[in-house]
Amino acid sequence: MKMSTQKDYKDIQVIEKDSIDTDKFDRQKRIHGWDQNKISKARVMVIGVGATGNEVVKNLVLSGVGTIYIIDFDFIELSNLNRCVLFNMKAAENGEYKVDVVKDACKILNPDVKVIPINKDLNAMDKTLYKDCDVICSCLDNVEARLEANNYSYYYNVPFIDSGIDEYFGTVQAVYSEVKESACLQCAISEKDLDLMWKKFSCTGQEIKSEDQETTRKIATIITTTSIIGGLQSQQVLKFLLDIDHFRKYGRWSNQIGEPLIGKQLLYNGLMNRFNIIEKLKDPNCWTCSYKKPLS
Amino acid sequence: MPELPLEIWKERIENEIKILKSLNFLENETISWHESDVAFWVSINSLGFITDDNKERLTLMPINSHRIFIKINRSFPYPGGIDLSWYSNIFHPNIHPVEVKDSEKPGTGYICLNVLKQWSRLSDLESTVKSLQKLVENPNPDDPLNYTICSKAADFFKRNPIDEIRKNYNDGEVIEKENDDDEVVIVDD
Repeated sequence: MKMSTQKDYKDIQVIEKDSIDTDKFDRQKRIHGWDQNKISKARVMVIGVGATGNEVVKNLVLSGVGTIYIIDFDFIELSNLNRCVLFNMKAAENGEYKVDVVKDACKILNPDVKVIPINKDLNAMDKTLYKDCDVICSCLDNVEARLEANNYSYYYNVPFIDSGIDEYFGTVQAVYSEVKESACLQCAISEKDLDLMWKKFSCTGQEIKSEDQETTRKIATIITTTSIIGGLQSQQVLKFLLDIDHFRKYGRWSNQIGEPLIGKQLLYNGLMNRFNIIEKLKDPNCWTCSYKKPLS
Repeated sequence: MPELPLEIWKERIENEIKILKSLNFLENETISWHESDVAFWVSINSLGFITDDNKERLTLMPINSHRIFIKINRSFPYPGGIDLSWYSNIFHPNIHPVEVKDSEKPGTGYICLNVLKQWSRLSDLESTVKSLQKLVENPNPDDPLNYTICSKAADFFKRNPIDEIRKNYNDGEVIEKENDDDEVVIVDD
């Protein structure tokens, strides 16, 4: 791939004939507005490499994202294998750590991508890592960790994309502090959420009505939902990576890449085959996004 | 529990402490900042009672000033971010003060406060301290803490409802009625 030397055409990429079959990224470079340089320089953090996390990491690795930080303290169990493309039987039997196995699997998919595993609880992670990233993804199963990631991403002005899954249902929402009037995750936290924060919840906010604490921690999941939601979430990541410079310069998202779901929540209903997008209301008293102007 | 970034957490607490100061709840020069928590003393004024151990019958004397030690940790303002310890003596079913007189060991300082359990987005230090004030004035004998002195207080306030005491009370002491037909004896100073 070469950039045209003519000044007027500096934004137009020329795809050379020879590389049609040999360039790994040839087909995606054909997309209007695509800039593979931006993607390969990017640093993305994926918090939680369970079901959705696997899908997101796989998509980002194959798209050629430069550096991916993966954070998860958990190890693989056999019951993970129905929905995690990067895990394998042997790792499950040996009870290996999720981050290590995902790292090895990514090396096979695309050796050029740097995957940095962090085998820690989110609370224990070095907070300055948040500001080193271009986009932060949460593929988590609990409200507490989501809010923590939301709070730090907002504070460091890093785009944050959250997802949740439950059976045939899923949600994706993006938070970005530069869009001042948009809501963050904390804005939508209700008294009931706070009340039940100690207890485990289904990702979409539906209460699990079992008395047994051990079983309430597990939600029903199938890979069709996780791959749809993981796909949507990775799409949001790519949008931010490709177009954030345009947004910072002109205050709007380009037509070629389109606007990310900032302050909006996409709801997927697999039973009714329906996608809905709802606007989230900004809470003027929000602890996170209304208390203090984020650092610039 | 999730946490706010340190700077936001600090600024929020500083603002809330400023409000407590303006309402005269905060004891001066008692704020101590640590790496992951901040602690200070508050004093509140509201009508509570302590027992008079020199009298044979259970006799209550008024006490108007109370001291509470507050520690705020990094979880604040999420649930569980405030740790309260009641220090000054009080005869109350829902408070087990550190300075409790009838036990050899110091009390636990525990406070049974619904506001802490029902933490909301609008909850803050001001509302918490104000609710402590209300708790002093409105003991809930139906839900006592599991300590001897608290059960004793619960029994007392069940037999002698606080409304009745307050109606007749006039700056003196309260003596337990001898049987159910008696009125609560109010002795003015």
